[in-house]
Amino acid sequence: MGKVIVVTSGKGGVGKSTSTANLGTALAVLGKKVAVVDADVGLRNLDVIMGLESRVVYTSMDVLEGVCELEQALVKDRRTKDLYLLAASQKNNKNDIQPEQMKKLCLELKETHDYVLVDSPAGIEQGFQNAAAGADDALVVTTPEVAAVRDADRIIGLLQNMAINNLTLIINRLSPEMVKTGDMMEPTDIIDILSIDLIGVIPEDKEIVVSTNRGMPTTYNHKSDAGQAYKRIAQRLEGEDVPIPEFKSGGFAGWVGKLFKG
Amino acid sequence: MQNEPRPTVELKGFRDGMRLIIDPEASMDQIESAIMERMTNLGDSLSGLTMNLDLGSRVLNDEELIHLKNLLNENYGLEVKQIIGDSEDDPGRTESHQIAGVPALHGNERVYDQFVPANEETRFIRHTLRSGQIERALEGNMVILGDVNPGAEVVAAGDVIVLGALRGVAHAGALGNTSSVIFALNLLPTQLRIGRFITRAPAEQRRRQRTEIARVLDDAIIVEEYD
Repeated sequence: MGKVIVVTSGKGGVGKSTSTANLGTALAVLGKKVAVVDADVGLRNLDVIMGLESRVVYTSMDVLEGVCELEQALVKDRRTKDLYLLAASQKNNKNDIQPEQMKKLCLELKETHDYVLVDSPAGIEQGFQNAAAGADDALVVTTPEVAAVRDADRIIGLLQNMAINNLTLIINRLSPEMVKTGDMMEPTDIIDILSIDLIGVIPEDKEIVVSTNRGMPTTYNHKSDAGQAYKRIAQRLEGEDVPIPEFKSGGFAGWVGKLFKG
Repeated sequence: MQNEPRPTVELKGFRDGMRLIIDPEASMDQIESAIMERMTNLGDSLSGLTMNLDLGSRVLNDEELIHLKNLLNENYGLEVKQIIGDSEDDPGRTESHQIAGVPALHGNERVYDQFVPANEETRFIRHTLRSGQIERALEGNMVILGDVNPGAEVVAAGDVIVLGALRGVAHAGALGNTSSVIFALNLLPTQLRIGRFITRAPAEQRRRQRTEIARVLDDAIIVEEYD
């Protein structure tokens, strides 16, 4: 029996889908059987980010309506073994699916996969409720911005109300230079407010734009800082003790070397 | 305070709960707009609570009463529990008010100077309040064993004590008691309210943790280091 993890944030544009695609890929590269589920009904894009758009035939809606079997709707990744995508319907909207239905889908998927990563839509409405319905754990994604942290805090409260208590935090798009000059929130400031465990920090990386447009997760790019950071999160999810580098304002000259050259 | 004109509506805490006291001289329109004005500062702080409507010598017909009751309920989530009045012109109105589904009391027991500072009970919250969460203690004080994050709100009729960081909004003396205080081990609020006074955090950001207490002095909220 695997684990269902919802990837969520509250605020839009902080990197939920990018994180889902990259972590799903990184976990599959580690030899795990992974299903990534796009829960953003009506605004799907996980298939695009993973470069699987042209292979989507059925969606989660088709499975729920009995048009096809779950196995038929799972799109096999073209590069990595044991990585599957369940796409969202583009024709429907978020209220066409009920939390109970999502729960059932997740239960079925985790019987045959080690990890089920559910990519949540932004917001706290039914789309989010659906995405979190079947989750065992949650990865909360934020960027080092006050608005994103505020929304993450709201989402954490809602997840705790849903009795999802194993919550970990991904800080995305951190610019080490800006943290150094004191122009960006430090991870410690963010953790201070959110008071959940940090599972990884993804540095700002232009490669993400390129890889997202090409439909090729940066995890495959050994030169990408972000891609490598996602790989380390996958290792941490697998229980490996991979230290998280410290990002602090001032006197951090050491960390870049430690993190990316070491 | 004695010389100030009596407000059209007043919200006060009494031993039997919260009362909305209405100026008997005011017109329905005045009452309505005064309620809206009085509630603006409270946001939805009072939603889900019950209150008594104190009409004094004012006589309202059923229609007006139902209208007020619905206004309070639909806009602010307040439920009218009892009508209190002391009109002598209309001895039959106690029965008439029952029509609105609200029991009525004759106001002989309505004593204004029995206003309770509302610091008798203390409610404890043993976790951090996150953005969007609101906790109230309208019977007394509130103690939070945790943080109050930005976007969260804590409201008390008496004092607010945060044994953690207060980064959100705190409202002490929410029913009008300006002798209430707000205390936090780390006071970094978005906004502080005591009674009818409001203050916001200074624009500059502070990093060092500081234990402080806020209270009202000369019609303004002041913040002092606590030691």
